[in-house]
Amino acid sequence: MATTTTPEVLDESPGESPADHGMSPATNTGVSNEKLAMWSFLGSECLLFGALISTYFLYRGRSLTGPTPKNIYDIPYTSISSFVLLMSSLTMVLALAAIQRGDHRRLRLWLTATALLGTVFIGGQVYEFTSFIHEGLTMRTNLFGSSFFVLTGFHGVHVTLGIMMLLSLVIMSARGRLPQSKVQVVEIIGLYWHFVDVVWIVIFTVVYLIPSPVAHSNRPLQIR
Amino acid sequence: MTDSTDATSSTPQTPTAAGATTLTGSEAPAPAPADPGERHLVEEAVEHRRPTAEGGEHGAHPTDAQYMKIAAVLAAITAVEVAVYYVKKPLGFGFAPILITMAAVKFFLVGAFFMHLRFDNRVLRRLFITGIVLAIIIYLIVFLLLGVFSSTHGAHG
Repeated sequence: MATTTTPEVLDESPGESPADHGMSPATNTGVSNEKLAMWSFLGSECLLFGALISTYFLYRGRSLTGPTPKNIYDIPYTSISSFVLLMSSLTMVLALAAIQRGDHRRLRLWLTATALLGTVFIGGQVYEFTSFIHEGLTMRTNLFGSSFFVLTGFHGVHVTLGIMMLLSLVIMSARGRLPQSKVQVVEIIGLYWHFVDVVWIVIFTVVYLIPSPVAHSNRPLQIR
Repeated sequence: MTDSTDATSSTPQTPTAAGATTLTGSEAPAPAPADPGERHLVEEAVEHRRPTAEGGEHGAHPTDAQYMKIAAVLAAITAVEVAVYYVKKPLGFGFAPILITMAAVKFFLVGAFFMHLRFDNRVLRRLFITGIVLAIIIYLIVFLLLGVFSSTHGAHG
């Protein structure tokens, strides 16, 4: 995205960028390039997760051997995990509101809470994966195992990366390297975090709550 | 997300303290072009150059209390989803559409309020919606090609 170069738009001191003052450089779109880049990335992530969810959907009810979703899903347990991740979106947005007010103590508190809730979610996912493996479902067991572990595993990796970014923000803030002027850094990482939350909203419904068709088919998928 | 809050025709808002913008030059009153069409183009260019203030271009962000209310609604919808899962038999064929609708409402609430798409520049909203719509169209085409929605799912020849 090309930035406008007209010198009269922003009153900048030599050697200082607009970002140093917590504002976006003037751009053709009126949106900072960093934020635009994150939204473009999230738009492309829709396609990635769309592919993974579609693959799971295509393979639903086509496994020739068990275990099947009906045998191993623990809906109450996954519901609590989903609730935890949903609430982490609340703590994330409260962290952003805190830095916008210049309240760094609450910023660190809410960021730490978000990272903690994310860790609880990942811990729950690790436990779920372990119990599934003990019940005989691995990536190589059947189509359900392959598509389930790839989909939820990819999501788990995204959450883990988000936790690492959140902890980096906490450390930066504790060292005084996250002044109020850098509010956009928190906002951009927050966008990423909310995105992994909305992806889980879809996964929870499509993968866990909507059951597989009863009639199984072992016919290969063919292009019509 | 709704386009109703778009400020395509709204008056420019003063950036909030969080954004702390200091516009000069283009903000200063300049002789307006005589031609109305040209004046419109200049006004549009100035509007597009305006940096994004973190307080939101198209209205103030929700307060902490409002965020908590939204989170309470999200939690309530999740609880209803789980309840619907356990009473699926009486719902029959309406079971899946009900769950998908509730997931869509949750998706909207997080996107509109927590991700601030309702308040931010519409360019961002369009980028995200383009990604979602593109994904839905592409994978629907794949499903149709593979006969997922037909009664003879995948059966061919």
